[in-house]
Amino acid sequence: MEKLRRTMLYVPGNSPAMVKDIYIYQPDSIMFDLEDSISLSEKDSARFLVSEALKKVDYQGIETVVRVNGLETEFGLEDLEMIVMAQPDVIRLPKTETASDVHEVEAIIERIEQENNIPIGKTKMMAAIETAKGVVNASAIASSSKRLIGIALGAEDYVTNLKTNRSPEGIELLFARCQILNAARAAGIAALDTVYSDVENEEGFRKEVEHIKQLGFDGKSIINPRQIDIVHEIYAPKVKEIEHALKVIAAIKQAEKDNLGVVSLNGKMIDKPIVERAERVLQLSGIYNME
Amino acid sequence: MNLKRRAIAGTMESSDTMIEIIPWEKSLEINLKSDVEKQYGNQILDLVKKVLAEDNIENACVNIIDKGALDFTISARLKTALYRASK
Repeated sequence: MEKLRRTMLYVPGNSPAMVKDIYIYQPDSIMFDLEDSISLSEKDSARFLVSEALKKVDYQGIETVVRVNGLETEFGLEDLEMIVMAQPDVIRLPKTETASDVHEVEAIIERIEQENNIPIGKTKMMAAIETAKGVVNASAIASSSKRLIGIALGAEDYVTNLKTNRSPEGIELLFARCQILNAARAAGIAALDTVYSDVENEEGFRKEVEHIKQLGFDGKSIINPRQIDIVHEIYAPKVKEIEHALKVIAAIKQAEKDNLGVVSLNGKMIDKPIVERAERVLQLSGIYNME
Repeated sequence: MNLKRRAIAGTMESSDTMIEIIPWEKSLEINLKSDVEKQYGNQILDLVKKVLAEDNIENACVNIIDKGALDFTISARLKTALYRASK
């Protein structure tokens, strides 16, 4: 079953208190940041702190992601050298603009895995798309590596690049969101939406989460634990949806048992997309065991 | 590791620790002040000595002000201070 990624919670990589406690909030993924939230003079200490935390703190099975600095900076290579050895689940690349950006980082990760007896391919990757060029190349980026588990929109840099700013309705992000989402789906990987920075504006946040859920996003990068429950609540299927999904799966199982090619439920034919949607509903509802 | 200069890492915030490394002529001196010194003082000193030994540091003065940091933080701050001192 596909992993749930409704909430990817940012943690500044240089805060020991946050780094040690963050799992108690139970996001779907924890994203330790070495990039924008860390001042230039503390890049080294954040790198050491996240590395030691990954080796010694039990994150209780929650997916660990590290956003490294780009290779065009003086910190990117050192981040990879240290962080890959600490074995997070995923390395998140910032400001990805082309497939070769992914290939370049992948080659370094592979070399580090080889040198340290880490199984080749164990370290997964995610690419954040934060520029118009990246959005235009989203499809090539999404299918650039088997290591990629998802692509994400980074809106703050993107709207600046577009020469606009973020509005409550998010109309300026619609093209990028749809482009990234379709690129991710075509490549069979996850699509993650950008952060919503105004933590105090719960109503605005809810609207945005409802919007991106309706578009089809797997989830959202978030910056405050208070946002977790809201996202999970909005993504939770309603009782009627769950009941229907269970009936769909039961009908499919019965048809398989009876060797029937065509399946119907209450007089309506059940085809593959309906089954896939039912499985997604059960996954989001926490009903994983469908045997 | 060759220590070239004095360096500091960490903060005085809760759950953190601040560590200063000073290259020394011919001995190792470790000074610890901790909010949890009575309970964990020896454990912290053992951890610091272990990290220093891994980098073959035998001549240095290490000043530590601990604010209740967990082992991974102490280890990270010490490694950062050593990294900075060796640059």
